[in-house]
Amino acid sequence: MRQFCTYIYWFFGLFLCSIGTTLGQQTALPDESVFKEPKTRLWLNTYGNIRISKRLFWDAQTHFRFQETENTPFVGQVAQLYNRHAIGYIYSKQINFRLGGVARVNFNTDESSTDRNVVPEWRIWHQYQFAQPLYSAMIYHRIRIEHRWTQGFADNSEYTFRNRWRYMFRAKIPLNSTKLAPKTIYVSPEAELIMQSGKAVVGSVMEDLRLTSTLGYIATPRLTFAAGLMYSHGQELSNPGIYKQNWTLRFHMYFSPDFRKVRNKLPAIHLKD
Amino acid sequence: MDSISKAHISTIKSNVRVATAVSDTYLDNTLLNILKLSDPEAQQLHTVLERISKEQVVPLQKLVVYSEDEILEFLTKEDILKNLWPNGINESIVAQNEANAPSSGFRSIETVQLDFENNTVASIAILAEYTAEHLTFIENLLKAKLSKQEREQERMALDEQLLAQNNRLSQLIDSVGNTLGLAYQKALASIQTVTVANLSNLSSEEDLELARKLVVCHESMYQLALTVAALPAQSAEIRKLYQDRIWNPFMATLMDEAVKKRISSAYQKLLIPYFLDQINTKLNCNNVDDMRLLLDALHNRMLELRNEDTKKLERKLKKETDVLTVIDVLRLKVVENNPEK
Repeated sequence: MRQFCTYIYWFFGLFLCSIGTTLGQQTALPDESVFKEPKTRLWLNTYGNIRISKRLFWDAQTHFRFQETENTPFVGQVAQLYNRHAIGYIYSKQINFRLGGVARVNFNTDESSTDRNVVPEWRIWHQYQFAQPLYSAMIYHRIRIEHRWTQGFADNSEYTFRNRWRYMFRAKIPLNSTKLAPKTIYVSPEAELIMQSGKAVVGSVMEDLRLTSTLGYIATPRLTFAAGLMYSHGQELSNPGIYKQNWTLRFHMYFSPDFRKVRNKLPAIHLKD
Repeated sequence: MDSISKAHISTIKSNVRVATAVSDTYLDNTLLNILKLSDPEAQQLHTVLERISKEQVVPLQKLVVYSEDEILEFLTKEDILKNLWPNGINESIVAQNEANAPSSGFRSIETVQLDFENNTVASIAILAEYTAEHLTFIENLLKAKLSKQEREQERMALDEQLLAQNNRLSQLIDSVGNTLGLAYQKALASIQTVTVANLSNLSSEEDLELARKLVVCHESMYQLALTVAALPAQSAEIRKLYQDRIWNPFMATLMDEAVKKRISSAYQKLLIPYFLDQINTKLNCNNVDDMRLLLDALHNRMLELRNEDTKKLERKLKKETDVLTVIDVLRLKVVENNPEK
């Protein structure tokens, strides 16, 4: 617990420090915040949650992210292929943790660029999720911390290390049922703040603020589909006074197969009974 | 006592036994006592029976007692006659026979020759034989009368029972009808239709055998109605049984997931509708028990299958839409469709 508090102090210290540093960079900053024209993006995301044992599961996510280009508006071209994996631990019905890695492939969407078209990006990530029933709905608090190595498209560009500090609040509210159950349509409002830190981050601590509304359908306990629209904006790394904006159409498929034998499955649903 | 007398006594004994049996059976017969109130002929036969019993059977029984007590050989002819018939013998016996015979319609094959004074034992033997024959004749008449009466009474009782069964079925349908789905209500209505049709086929004539069968049949119909009325609850039980509580990690919630879907689907979508249809279209007294037993067997089989390894069975059920094949796969006995079974 003490260590956790230290972590939090460090988090806010860094946050304030970044703001101070940002204030110290007056010369590079515009007189007023500049919000760039929003871009449109399309994300197709799959989320797999494969039960390994009574308390462990494999989190397997693959995302296809498209970004508009001048030649292909709206849907655009592939910007990132995203593979996020982790081993998760179910502490209780309400609390779970996970730890894993991300292998992301970034595509150069700047059509005028003569740099490399594809570069990899690596991350180690850990996540702490707290779920809570609230009337017929469920609400979720998610803290996700990522340690991220990125590189630019320019040849021989060095890896840049940054940390990402993410908090997300999400609710899932059933619309045609009294609870989240199969054949239920639900609406899910969601807000996520992504902060970042690292040597390269001089003033742009707010990497992204994402506000999403999603409509989902629980087909079976093991299969859910959802689609939503996300507005996001955040500071550009190169200049904290400039904010990029995005409108993202997101489609999700959630699947959670369980290949264990029946006799192993049965007690797993009652973790502490 | 000479051997001839002994032979006479033996004859008397056997005839007295016959006469006593008739007399005991019919003198206090409840049904005859009721019948004689409405039937003059029965009344007359009962009167004759009473008089013969009193004036002939009782004295003859006394003689048998004397014989068994071995005091007969110490009694003179006069003593015997005086003890058996204190009021005299010749006139009364003859008079009785003359009076009785026409009233019962009995005619002895042989002319009764009685000479109590000279051939006392022989005459008493003849009298005993005559009495036994006469009572047997009366018994046959009464049997026929009582049999008819018994049948009529049984039929009345059966009619009452059938009516009560019909009322009970109506009450059941009224009490559960509205709480059930339409398909079940229709099946219950079909059961009632069949029972009402059965009753209307039952003529007012003396069709006792059919009435007896219908009582048994309608009891089965009621049991079937109870089974049908219980089907929605059973169906809900099966639906719940064929579900697992599944952890949905994305929602952090437990959810119900259908398991062994092919079996539960065959039950819900094929078998139950099929059996309800059978009840609606094929139900009769011959197959009512089969239908009920099959529904019970189906429920029990569904309870068993939940915990059995059913992979092979589920493979066989894949895309199977023929009900009879499904029944076969589930190893249920097929209902007899032929009403003329």
